Amino acid sequence: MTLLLLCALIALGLVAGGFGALAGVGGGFLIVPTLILFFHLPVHEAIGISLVAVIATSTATSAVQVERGVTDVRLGFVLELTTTTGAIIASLLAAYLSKRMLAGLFVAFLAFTLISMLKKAWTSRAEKEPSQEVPEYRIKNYPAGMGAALLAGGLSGLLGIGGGLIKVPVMMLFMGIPTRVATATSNFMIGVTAATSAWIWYSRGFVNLGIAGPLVAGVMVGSHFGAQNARRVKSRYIVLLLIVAAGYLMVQMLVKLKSGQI
Amino acid sequence: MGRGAHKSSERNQTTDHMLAVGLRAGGVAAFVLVVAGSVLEVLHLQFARLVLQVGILALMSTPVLRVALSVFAFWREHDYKYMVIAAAVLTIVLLGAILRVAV
Repeated sequence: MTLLLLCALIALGLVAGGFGALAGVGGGFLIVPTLILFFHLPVHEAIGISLVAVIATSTATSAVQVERGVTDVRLGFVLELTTTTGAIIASLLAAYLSKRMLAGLFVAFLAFTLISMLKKAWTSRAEKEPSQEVPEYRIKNYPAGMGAALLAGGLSGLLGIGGGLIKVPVMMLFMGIPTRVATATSNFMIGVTAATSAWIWYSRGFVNLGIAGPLVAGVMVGSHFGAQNARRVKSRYIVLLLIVAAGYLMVQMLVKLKSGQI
Repeated sequence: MGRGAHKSSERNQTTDHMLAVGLRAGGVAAFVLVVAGSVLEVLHLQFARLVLQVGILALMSTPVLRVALSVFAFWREHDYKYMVIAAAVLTIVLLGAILRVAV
């Protein structure tokens, strides 16, 4: 491996991990297309490596969040029953799907990510400083949460993403969980879900160690500092930046798909 | 434990603390190995791949270890309902690796 490649991978990890943690989203949606488009990795390898990066993000951020007491560990375990089940089914299935099929699904997921972030940027317009106190809450509608968790786990195992964008809104809207608790609990779960998938992808030979190593190092540093400073930085500008990045990657992926390069 | 904690009973604190320590230890070990492996790789030194492999496997094991740790933590708190739930999650995670061999 060249020094240039090493630096590029560390930089990708720092950016995806750092901005992801600052904005409260995972970096998976940036890592997979970047590895495909700019590092010319096969689709399956990009997803396998991204799963390891997702574990790194979750490990680095949830140590901070569990300690602050915003994570609902018990709720996390209940939902993990279905995220891990979805992850196993999807990971076992993924090896039999073509790279074009996975790339197409990923483009659809990028579109969903884009819409979710646009909504987030729009609603956070008028928002003042996020409150430091977490309100009392009573958990309701476990079936809705477990259903969403199954879907999130499945998408995670199939596309190498965290799945927080599916779990967090459902926890907030259907289960009555405050935003900060939902985000922290989702982060906590993502590591276990991604690890379940990663073991399967790794054993199929889809985790290139030389690429994963430097990327993971960057992700861990980036998301650690991102999580520590998340409350000090205005997340709105970061979300806008991520919207531009996701839009660009989506268009590039579409171009490659159409021209038959994937 | 931060002041914003919504449930600051003592039993939650012990579990949270154990989990945080477990996460941190696994994370730090993986990080050190992955950095060392990457440096060795660039210098084209021996054992680079092995160090990277151990680092990545340590990272992939950290969440699994954390679930196992939680089973123990819930048992110690006599919270048997959640002990069973955590044990079920651990079983599913391990099942994935076993099913992979079969399918």
